[in-house]
Amino acid sequence: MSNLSPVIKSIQDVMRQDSGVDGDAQRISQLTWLLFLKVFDALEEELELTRDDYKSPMPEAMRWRNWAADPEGITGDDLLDFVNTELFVTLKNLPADPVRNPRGYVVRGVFEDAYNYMKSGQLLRQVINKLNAIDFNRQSERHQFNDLYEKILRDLQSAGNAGEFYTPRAVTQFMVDMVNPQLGEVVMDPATGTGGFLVCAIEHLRKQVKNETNAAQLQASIRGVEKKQLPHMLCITNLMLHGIEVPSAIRHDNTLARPLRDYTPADRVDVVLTNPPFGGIEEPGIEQGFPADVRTKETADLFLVLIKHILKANGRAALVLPDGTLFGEGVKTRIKEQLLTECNLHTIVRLPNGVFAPYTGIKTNLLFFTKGQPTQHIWYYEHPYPEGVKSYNKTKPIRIEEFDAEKAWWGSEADGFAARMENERAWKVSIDQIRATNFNLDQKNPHAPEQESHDPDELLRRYASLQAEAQALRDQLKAILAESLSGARA
Amino acid sequence: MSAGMEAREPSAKYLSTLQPPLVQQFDLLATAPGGVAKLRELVLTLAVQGKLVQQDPSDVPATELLKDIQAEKNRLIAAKALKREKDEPEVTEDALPFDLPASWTWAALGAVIDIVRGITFPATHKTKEAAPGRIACLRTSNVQQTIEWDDLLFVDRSFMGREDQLIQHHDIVMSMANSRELVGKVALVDHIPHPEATFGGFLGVLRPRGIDPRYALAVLRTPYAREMLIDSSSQTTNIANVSLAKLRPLPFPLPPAAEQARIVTRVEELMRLCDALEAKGQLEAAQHGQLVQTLLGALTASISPEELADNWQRVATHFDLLLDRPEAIDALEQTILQLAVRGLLVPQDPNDEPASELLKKIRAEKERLIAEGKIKRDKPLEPVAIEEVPFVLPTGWSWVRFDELIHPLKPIAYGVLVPGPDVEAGVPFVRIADLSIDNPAPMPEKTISHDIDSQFQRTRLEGGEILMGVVGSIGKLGVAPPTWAGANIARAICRIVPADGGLREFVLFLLQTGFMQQSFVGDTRTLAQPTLNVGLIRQALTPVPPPAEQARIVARVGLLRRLCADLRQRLAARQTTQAQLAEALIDEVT
Repeated sequence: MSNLSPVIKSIQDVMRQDSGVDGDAQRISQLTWLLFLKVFDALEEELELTRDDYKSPMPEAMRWRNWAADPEGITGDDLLDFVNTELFVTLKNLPADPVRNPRGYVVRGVFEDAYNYMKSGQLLRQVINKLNAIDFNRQSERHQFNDLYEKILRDLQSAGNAGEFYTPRAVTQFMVDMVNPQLGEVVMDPATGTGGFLVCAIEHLRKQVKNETNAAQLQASIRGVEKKQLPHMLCITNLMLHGIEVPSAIRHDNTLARPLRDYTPADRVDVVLTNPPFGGIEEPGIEQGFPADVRTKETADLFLVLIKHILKANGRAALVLPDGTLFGEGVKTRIKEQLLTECNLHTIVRLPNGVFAPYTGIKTNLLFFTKGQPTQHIWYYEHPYPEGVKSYNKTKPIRIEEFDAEKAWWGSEADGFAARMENERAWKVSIDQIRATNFNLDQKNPHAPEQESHDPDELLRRYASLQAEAQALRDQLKAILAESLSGARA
Repeated sequence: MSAGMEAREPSAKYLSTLQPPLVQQFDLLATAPGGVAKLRELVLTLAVQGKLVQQDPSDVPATELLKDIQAEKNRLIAAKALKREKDEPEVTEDALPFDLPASWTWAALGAVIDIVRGITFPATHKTKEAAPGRIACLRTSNVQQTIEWDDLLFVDRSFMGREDQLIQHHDIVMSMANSRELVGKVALVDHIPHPEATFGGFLGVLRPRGIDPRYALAVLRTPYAREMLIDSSSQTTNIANVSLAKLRPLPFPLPPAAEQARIVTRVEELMRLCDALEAKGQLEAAQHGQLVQTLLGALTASISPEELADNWQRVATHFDLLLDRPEAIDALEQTILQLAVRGLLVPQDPNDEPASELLKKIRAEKERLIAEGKIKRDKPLEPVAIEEVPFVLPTGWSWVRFDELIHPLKPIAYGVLVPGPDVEAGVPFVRIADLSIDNPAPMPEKTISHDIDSQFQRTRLEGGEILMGVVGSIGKLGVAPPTWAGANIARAICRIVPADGGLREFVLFLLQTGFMQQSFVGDTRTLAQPTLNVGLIRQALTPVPPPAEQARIVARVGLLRRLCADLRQRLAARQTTQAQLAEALIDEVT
């Protein structure tokens, strides 16, 4: 990575000089479509060697090798003109059918909403030439490139409001490990973001690949939907880098826009892994696609309904949800009641503040459930900060090793997690208790001493209540002293 | 491109969405314990992230500045005025702790700051006096908020190896070897009161090259830089060492030169405001303390119920303002005891049997025991003279010598002078540290031999005795729990057993009052350790109310003290919460 990192940095520096590119998000967006074309070309090169009848879905002139690869190739206004009036126009309008021409479909999907921000053809040429310094076909550099790509994704985290697309690697890894997808199962992320869960799942499944048939199964095992263009483009490129040849099953769309009743048995999946956007509100009309008793505009709630719906019988899900959904009432109560009736919500891992910092500081939870059996009891596990850590941040993110304790405690779903023991971090709550609290899933750890809080709102509440208690005591004290001292004596 | 993806610089997001909670709760933040220190950290953190002053697009970008610095270095190297470093320090991308504005750049600290280690010399050659041929030498203790030029060392100038070890104006002096908390501490040289000065081996000088030294100082004082320095230091048992090899590649956020100047101006301005806030806080605390002392003091000094009622009105009016911090509750509690001991806390009942009757009974019992030959007659105590009485007591009360309240068979006595080493299965032995009124340990830790214990049979405990420190922590009180029966006590403790007749609770209360405590402290004789003589305890002037009133006083005082304890706990918890809140608010914006 030592030799690639400066390349990317110098590319970013070149882009900063361009008057058209404004801010980190645009820089990353510009870099991404360039990377996509380069990676796509590298994959094609490989395919041409291995398959005799390979035919590119792109017109010859649009392929990277033919307009970008030559460092002395077109530049300046010619280049700019080509990109804006030919490349983008052609790729946005590729005649591509998802079944007959899936590769073309992928390319068109990526370019549908992509945009060339750069206004200087010379600078664009500089960027392209720097990208060409990387040889994506060399296995070792491909590997390095994955790491580099991870870094670009992490940068997204701090690039304004784009952070919502990135789930820390340790969290996705832990969730995939626990859900343990098997080859032959279909894994779905209805809000892929940059594809963190899917990539993790691919790597998990790849370990099970033994032969050609398995390899083909792996190619067909991933589905996803992402509403926004930049993360969608990043996700596609990400999956190609992780060996999914034709990521045509990743759609650029709003999952929630499809009415629930339109999902056919063929659409159902074995595993859902996702981190739905929190705190968002859907545009009017979206909720009409959902049953009347669970209609709401809140994105996270609708996703919960959707996930429950699209799971096959005995399908498994793991998702990230904020505290607010756990203790919310009204429609949230009904959604939770349905979830607990139709699914076995067996485990909730409670994460501390700051796992998603700086995108959000709110507390989050990992919910694990299986469709088909009603919930009898829920196991809670409170994930602590590691020793000496007060909060996570960009340089000290949550690490996968921190989940070793949960993994050791986890046990097996087959025997109903018989091996699980209560301890100072883990506790069990029965469905009766949950029902008695009106399906409040925000159940506090009965074993832990009161944790030092880092949530300003909670601290303010505590401050106010201490203030009130002090006032009550002062009043009592004052009353007794007044009785003693105000001269009312015999 | 969807609307939500419009490009925004990260800083805009922080300022628009995250500052309001901090601003809304600013007063809570500024008055929290350590709140101003947190604010200072916040100012520095925002400053070096480019969030404190606006970027000016017309500034020459920092990358140009960095090139100029490098070019100047190369020129000096070519002119042999500077040695080329063996390896140019490089910033590792992964270590970058935050994002920078576009016009800024990350530089390795070593690329913009030269670092010089201090001189070493044998301990035998250091002196405190200036003399010809000697040079002033800074050491760790001189590096504080600023460089403190007093208490310098002077060493032979020949120990200085290189001329660049001379302190220059605007050098930043850093503590390179210190405890983990203090290592990396820095101060700026803003004047040099000696013709020449150098610095010792535990220090380093950081000499900015082409950047504003006050900006460099701000960077080095940010929590992130402190943390990186500490993390990069090599730790031995007690000392953390910062090495040049670790220091030079540390990532240094470099703004354009013009912005550096703006940042420094703004930081200095904000630091002055922090100084003022801090001073105001201290002044406010001092004035509050004085107000509490004055108003509560007036209560206890009241000489008539009418005056007391007046003084109480004044306290009552400002009760909430006065009693809003734990220290004020301590003062109130002592005031309550002082009022109680003067008979001002509970009303008198003319039907109560007067104290004199109780005292008569105690005296009669003593005479009986003397007559029976069970005890010997003590040297009689001086009767209480009217001139020594400090205040007038209510009807029914009496002034006595403290010894008149003591059980005739169990005189005040102190314990074992030389306890010797611990003995297995020995006699439990009570020392001052074991004393507690409410919460004594079930068993004291130390033991003494049965042999020694047998020489001090008179101070063997039965449980229930009042115990008081008489050496060192004079007046410290405890009650022997039943589990201590059979234990013995140290010389530093005296045993107090009140006479029969329900006196015990009242005597325990009495001993806790400032009135009695002060008479003991005033009576200590100055030996190697202040020591209270038993004779002086026996003679202490003591007010005694009628027995029925004693019970009422003890009950009332107990109730009030419990309320005080609860209130104190809430106020302390409130302070803690406020400090946590300050930290949380600041964590949110950094």
